[in-house]
Amino acid sequence: MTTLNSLGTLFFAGTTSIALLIVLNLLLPVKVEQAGEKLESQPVRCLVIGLVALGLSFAVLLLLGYLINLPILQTMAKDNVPYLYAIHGLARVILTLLLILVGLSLISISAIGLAALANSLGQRIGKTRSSINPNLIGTTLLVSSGLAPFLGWFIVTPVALCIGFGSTIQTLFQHNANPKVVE
Amino acid sequence: MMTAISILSILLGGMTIIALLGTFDMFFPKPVTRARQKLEVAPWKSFLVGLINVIFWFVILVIWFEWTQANGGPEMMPYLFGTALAILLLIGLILPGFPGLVALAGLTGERWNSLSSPLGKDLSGGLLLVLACLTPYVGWFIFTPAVLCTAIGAGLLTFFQRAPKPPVVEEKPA
Repeated sequence: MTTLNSLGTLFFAGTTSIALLIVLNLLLPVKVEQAGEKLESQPVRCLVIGLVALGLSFAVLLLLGYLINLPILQTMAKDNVPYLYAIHGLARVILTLLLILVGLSLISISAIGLAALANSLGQRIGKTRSSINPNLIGTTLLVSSGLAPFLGWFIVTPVALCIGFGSTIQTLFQHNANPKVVE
Repeated sequence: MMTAISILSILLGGMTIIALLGTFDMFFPKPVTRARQKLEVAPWKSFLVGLINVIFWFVILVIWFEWTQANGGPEMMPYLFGTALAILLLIGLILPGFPGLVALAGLTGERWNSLSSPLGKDLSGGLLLVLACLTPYVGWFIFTPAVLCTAIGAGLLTFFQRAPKPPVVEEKPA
């Protein structure tokens, strides 16, 4: 029964993830398109940037988590100075909010990148099979391959996340090229 | 067994919401069309307006809750006023939010398959939106609040923005 429950949960999570990526493609077409262009033109650069950016973000998350539970500050606050206890409580709330904000931003950026990856995958397949909606087939393939045991969990999903994250980061922080002056 | 029952009940709940979205568009097409225009023209503005209104509502709710707790609990008269205010604000969010949500579903359905009927667009868009909102963690904590804020914002912009004045045509003297 536990296996059945796990399979049901996995199926549910997979189906809803497919829907989420499709909806992101439909509701944020410009962002996804820009990220897709970056993906198509510089995939390795996207992977490297995504890897570095995700690593840095996780370091920030760990640092925030450590600061929230800093043992020295807790002991000082409890034992010696009462006003430090109040400051510690406030700092803890602010740090927790920051942690949640950073985490949510990471997930959102990765989701947009994954949508772009699914879109470009679907476009490539759609060139040969025009009867199938490229969005649907690309997303389904990406999510299914990410759910494949071991290879999908430990290789496909992290690589896809890094590439997606890198492409979206590049899109968000890119400088607009100066328009050429036409005389 | 409990997980399977939970998933089934969530799916059934989602189906009823999809049906509600489709039905609303059939009964009230005008506000939905206007909200959809807002969503197409200014999606980020709709999101920001919705976000500000939702935050404002939550701040008022928290202040009311703290105040009634500090002033002796539910026997107080302020409790009644506070509850009435909270309910009014909630209605004020739901009323414009629903056409916005239907418009968002219609827009998603339109971009998904532009050839289908209006009801088909609403239903397919609603299905996609509901499934996306049910995605674990990302859907629950990011996508659903974002969709609700956008819908509420679009609805509010529709209700409280005046229609542009028709251009004045000056008559030339003969």
